[in-house]
Amino acid sequence: MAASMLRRIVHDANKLPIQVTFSKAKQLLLARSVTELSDRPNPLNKDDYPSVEISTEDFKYVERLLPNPLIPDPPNHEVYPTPSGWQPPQESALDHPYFINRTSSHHLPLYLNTRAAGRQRLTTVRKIDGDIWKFEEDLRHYLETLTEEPIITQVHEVARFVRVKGYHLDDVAKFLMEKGF
Amino acid sequence: MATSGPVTEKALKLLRNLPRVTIANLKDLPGNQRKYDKRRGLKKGRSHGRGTKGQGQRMTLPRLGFEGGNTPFYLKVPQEPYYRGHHLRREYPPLSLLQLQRMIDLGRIDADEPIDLTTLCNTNLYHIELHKRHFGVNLTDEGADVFAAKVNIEVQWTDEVTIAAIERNGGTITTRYFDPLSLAAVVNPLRFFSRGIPIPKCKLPPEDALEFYMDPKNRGYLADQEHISEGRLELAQKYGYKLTDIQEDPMFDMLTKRKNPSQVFFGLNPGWIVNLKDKCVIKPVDEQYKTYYAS
Repeated sequence: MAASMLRRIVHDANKLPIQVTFSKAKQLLLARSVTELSDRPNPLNKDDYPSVEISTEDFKYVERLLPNPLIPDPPNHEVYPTPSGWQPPQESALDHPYFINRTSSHHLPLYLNTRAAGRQRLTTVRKIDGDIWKFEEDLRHYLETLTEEPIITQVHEVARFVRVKGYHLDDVAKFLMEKGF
Repeated sequence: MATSGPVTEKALKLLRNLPRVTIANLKDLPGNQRKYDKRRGLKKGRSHGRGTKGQGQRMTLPRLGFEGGNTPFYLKVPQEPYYRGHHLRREYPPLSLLQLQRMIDLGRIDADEPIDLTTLCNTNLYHIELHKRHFGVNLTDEGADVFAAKVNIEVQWTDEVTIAAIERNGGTITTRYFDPLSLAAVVNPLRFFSRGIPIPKCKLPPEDALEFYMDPKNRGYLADQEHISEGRLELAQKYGYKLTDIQEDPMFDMLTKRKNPSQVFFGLNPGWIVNLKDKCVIKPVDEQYKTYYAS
């Protein structure tokens, strides 16, 4: 009788795209357990599952764990530069025929490239607006006062950057911050 | 899914009443099955796809890796004992005190709240890659002389100078271990909550790491609190700074906020499930679940 019930269900199922095949042994096994089939939990009935407690107050702890998708504005400090050496752009930056914009994370657009297995180092200043050649001239004169080594630079007018051969990150950073950028 | 049609109803009825679907009771559609090719007959006979004469047809090919007589690749590269067990070592990518100070200065991290690995990863300036055997953050002492923030920070690895630099400013530091599943939750909580699985209880560290986290000198989370207080005094004397009384600090509650050894997130206990869509937390009520997750 149990097996015939199963065959009826399978007959109904045969009209659907999935084909389910049973061996005779499995049929016998299922025949024994067919009375327990109705005891299976119905996902549409909440009483079949263990009870839980829903809390909306504790969600505030979850909100603290979620990341902020936007970069926040830097807070106002009493003294500059800050302990880590950061300084916001000053108004004296507008006095020059060129302007160096800050990056989206509020840092100077100053980068170091290391190429040729460490033998070649290039210091790049990006995001230059205005008279780029004047900027290169001022930067070169400043660096020449600090070292006897020749200062070799590259000006890229279209991509708006100036490159200096060698490691000059600290010196260029000081130059830019003195100018107020 | 407003109303389900007759086909869906039949399918759901099947799912409820038939036994579990396994590979053993499924079959492909007739048209999708491909017959096993025995290579018999006019076209597929003669050499049966094995070519003409030679080792290929006569099944006398040499062993896999053989290169005709020269030393094969798998023997050419020598063993290097230095790298033995390399694939099992834990890595702690460094974060310097200078970088931490810069993040605080620019408002990327709020120093008025406890800082842990989740806070650092959420800044998107520091990353932990689980597939590279990263087990947490190593707070290094670069910038120890300029570090000026009073923080409550929880890291996975650090050294004496870093601990001194943080405690000098009136802050606290703890080192704690996260097992891989807990670490996945800590590093990217949003992705973890989207999975809809209960918050795991953090397991104890492995044997070779247990000593580190039980040592009060490393401010380990399994160490005795009394020994840690003694250690604070010792470091102050060693590095020559005055240790302020933490109990008189207005931020005392924030600075002494600690997680339980098996707790992964502040304020959320293991066993709870976070529902991001409905903005609620699902807690088990069953006693068995509660005792398991509380143990």
